[in-house]
Amino acid sequence: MAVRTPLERRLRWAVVGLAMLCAVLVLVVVAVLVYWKLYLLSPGSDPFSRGPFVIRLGETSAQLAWTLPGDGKVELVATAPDGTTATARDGRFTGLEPGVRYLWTAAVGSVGRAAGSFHTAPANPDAPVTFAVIGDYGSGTDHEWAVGRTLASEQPDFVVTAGDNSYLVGAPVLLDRNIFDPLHDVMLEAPLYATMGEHDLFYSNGAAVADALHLPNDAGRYVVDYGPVQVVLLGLDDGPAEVAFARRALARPGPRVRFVVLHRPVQPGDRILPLLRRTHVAAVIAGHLHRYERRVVGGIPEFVVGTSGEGAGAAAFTKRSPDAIVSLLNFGSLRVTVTATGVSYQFIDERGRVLDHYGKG
Amino acid sequence: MIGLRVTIGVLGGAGFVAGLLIAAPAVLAPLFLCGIVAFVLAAGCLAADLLPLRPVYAATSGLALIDAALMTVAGQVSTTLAVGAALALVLLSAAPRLIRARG
Repeated sequence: MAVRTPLERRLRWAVVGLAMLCAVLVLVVVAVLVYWKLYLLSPGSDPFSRGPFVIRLGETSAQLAWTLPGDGKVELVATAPDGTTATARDGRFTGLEPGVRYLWTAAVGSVGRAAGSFHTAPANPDAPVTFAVIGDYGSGTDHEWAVGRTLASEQPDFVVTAGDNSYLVGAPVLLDRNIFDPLHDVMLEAPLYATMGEHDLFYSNGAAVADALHLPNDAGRYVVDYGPVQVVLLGLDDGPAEVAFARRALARPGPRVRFVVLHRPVQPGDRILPLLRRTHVAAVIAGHLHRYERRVVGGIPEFVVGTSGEGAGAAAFTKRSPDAIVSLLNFGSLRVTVTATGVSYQFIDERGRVLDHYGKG
Repeated sequence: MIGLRVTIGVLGGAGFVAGLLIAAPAVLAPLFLCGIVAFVLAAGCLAADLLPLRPVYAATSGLALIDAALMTVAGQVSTTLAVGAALALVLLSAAPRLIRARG
């Protein structure tokens, strides 16, 4: 070994020390990265760009829908309280038990990415059914989100909307902001049966909203049967075509309690009223007016649920109906409970307070 | 830098003995600690062997650096692999002297 001067030896030790310091720094960086990856980094992002959400419920079947970019395969499993499981085919569960709340999970690539529950329609005609109604909501406001949270906490069997699902128009680009994000939690649990308002129909005659929510048609005119309950959704108003549709739907035998839902409230003297009386419709539910109102029109209780998100707007367009028994500007939703002894209605505001109660059961 | 090289060998030997005497997963901690210290010392050893350049020494120091890193993390995958890395560390620390003795 060559003879070194003291200076060379000191320099060599300095280089050795520097190298060891660098090694320590490398270890520190690696440790920080590992800690960040294991404990600070969030898990992989949600692979779904929309959903999964419940779109149909029957006595023995349930249908879910979703949007998943790419070719990922979604495996859906529903589990009953007794532990029995069912696997969905193309998003549809069959062979389920009536009147049972199933927990479902959606796995992508063997990782569970979404979960929720649904309650199959009861076969027993006296079984209680609860559904919620919202209207004039699709605006993505804080109030809509708040109403969405209270809805989710109530766990209704299904949700009905009285139209104006997306402001200002029902364009595809707005639907996540206006519908699927604020109502995400409740849509994990309950199907959203929507009818159409003017704002939905402005764009493509409602096709965008109908496609996104997997509705039977663009006009929002169809029938929902759930256990003893029938909900006839008419669309924008009670014109001749809607009355003819309602006549056919309400003539169907079976349901014990029937409701009619449309966007524009039924007014005294409307041609649909004799039909509603004759078929013993429990109530008419509407939106359009950005208030919550309870009225009796032509002998039929009518609930206007127009404050689920968008807000009252100009006072000139949000006048109290002269015959309203209750008229509120509070944001909220209507909870309808059907039991063997009757039907009860509660208007629940965005903070969960019951501001109006009507009926029995 | 005999002192550094001997220390690396001792750490490798300690890891190897620990691997023989202590069952998994308790053995992972001593293997991890020995591996980290050996990694730092091997970095210093490599620097010393590069100034001035001593190819055989530098090569074994470089390999010891990689081996120490392997010893640190290999226990997560396989205890046998980590114990093997500890044994390799002993051999690498002794390798330059053995090569010189044979040459």
